[in-house]
Amino acid sequence: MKYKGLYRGTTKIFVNGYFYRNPVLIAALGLYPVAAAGYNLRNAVELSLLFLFLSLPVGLIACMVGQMIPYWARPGVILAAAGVCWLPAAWLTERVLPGSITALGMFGGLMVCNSVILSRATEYDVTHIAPAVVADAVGSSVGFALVICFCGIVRELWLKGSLWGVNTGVYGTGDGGISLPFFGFILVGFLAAFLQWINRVRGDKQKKGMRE
Amino acid sequence: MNDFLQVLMTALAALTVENALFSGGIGFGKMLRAARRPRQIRMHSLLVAWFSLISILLGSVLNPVIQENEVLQFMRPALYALFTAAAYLLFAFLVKAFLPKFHIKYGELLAPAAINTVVLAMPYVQKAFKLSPFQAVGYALGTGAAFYLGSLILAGAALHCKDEECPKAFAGLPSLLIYIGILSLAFAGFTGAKLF
Repeated sequence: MKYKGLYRGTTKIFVNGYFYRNPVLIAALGLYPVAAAGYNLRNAVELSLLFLFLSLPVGLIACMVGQMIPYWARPGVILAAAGVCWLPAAWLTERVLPGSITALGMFGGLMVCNSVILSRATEYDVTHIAPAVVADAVGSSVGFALVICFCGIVRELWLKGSLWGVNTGVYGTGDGGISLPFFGFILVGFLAAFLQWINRVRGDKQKKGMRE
Repeated sequence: MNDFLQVLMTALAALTVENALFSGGIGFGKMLRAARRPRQIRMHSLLVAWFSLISILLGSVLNPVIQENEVLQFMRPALYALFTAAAYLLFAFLVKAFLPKFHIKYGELLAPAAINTVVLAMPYVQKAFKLSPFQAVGYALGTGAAFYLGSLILAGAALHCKDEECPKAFAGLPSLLIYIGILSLAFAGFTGAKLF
C-alpha cells in the first residue's frame, strides 16, 4: 500500500515535470540553451543528455545535504556542486556522443548554471525525499528534452532541410536567422501557448467533473 | 583618457551590437524574474553588473592559465562555476556580517544576481572577444545596464501581455516570450550574425 502510494506520487511528479508543469514552458527556466543552442537536433540531444546527467546528481546532493546548509549559502554551495558534477556529466555525454562537449563549447559549459537544475535543487530538492527528487529530475530532463528537441527539429528542417545532418529531401530556406536566439524565443512562445491551452482545457474538464 | 574611452566604447557595444542578453539570448529567465519586482530592478541590475565585473575579471586572470593546459580546458566550466560560487559566498557572507540592513532589504537579490547565466558567461565573453582588463570592465558595466533596460522593458510589457483582449492561450508568459523574440530580432539586426 505504502509503495503503491509512493509509485503514484512519483509518477505524478514525473508527468508534471515533463508535461503539465514543464519548467521551460511554464516558468521560462532554462531558456538560453533552447533559444541559443537548440538550432539542430544533434545539439538538442547532446544538451538533453548533459541536462539529465547533471540534474540527477545535483538534485540528490541537494536532497541529502541541502538542509544542513544555511539558507543564504545554499545557492553558492549548489552551484559549486553543479560545477563538480559537470565533470562526470560531460564525460558521460562525451562517451555517448563523442566530440559533443567540444562541439557544444560555451553552450555545454553554461549548462552548469542552468536555471531549471539550480532552482529545482535550491527550492524543491532540499525539502523532498529522494524518490520525489529523482522523479522530478527525470521528469524535468524529459520535459527539457522534449522542448529543445522539438525546437531543434523544426529549426534544422527549416534551415537545412535535414535532420541530424542527414538530408530529408525537405526544402531548407538556408536563412541563418532561424538559428539565432530570437527564432527560438518565438518558437518557445508558441509552445508555451499550446501548453497553456491544454492546461486550460484540462482545468475546465476537471471543474466540470467535480460539479457532476 | 584612452583607457576610459575603451571602457565607454565596450560598455556601449555591450548595450548594442554585442548585447549578451538580447543578441546572445543569455539570462532571460532571471531578467523576467527581475521584471516581476519593478521596485528592485535598479538594485538587482547593480548587483548583476557587480558580479559580472568580478566574473569577467576572474576570466581575465584564469583564461591565460586554462589556455595552456588541455585538462584545465575540459574543466573550464567547472572552474568558472567554482570561482563564481566562491565569489558569491564570500560577498554574501561579508554583506550578512557587516551590512545587516542591506542584507535584510536586498539579501534575496544576491543569489539571483550572482548565480545566473549572464554572470557565468562573462569569462567566455572575455575569451571570445579577447577583451583587455579595461574593456572587460566596460563590458560588465554595459551588461548591467542592458539588464536594467531589459528588465524595465519587460516589466512594462508584462502588464500588457496580461490584457483581457489577449487570446487566453497567449496571455502572460507565451506572449511575453514572443515579445522577447521580436526584441531580440531587432538586436539581431544590429549584430548581423551569431554573437557566440
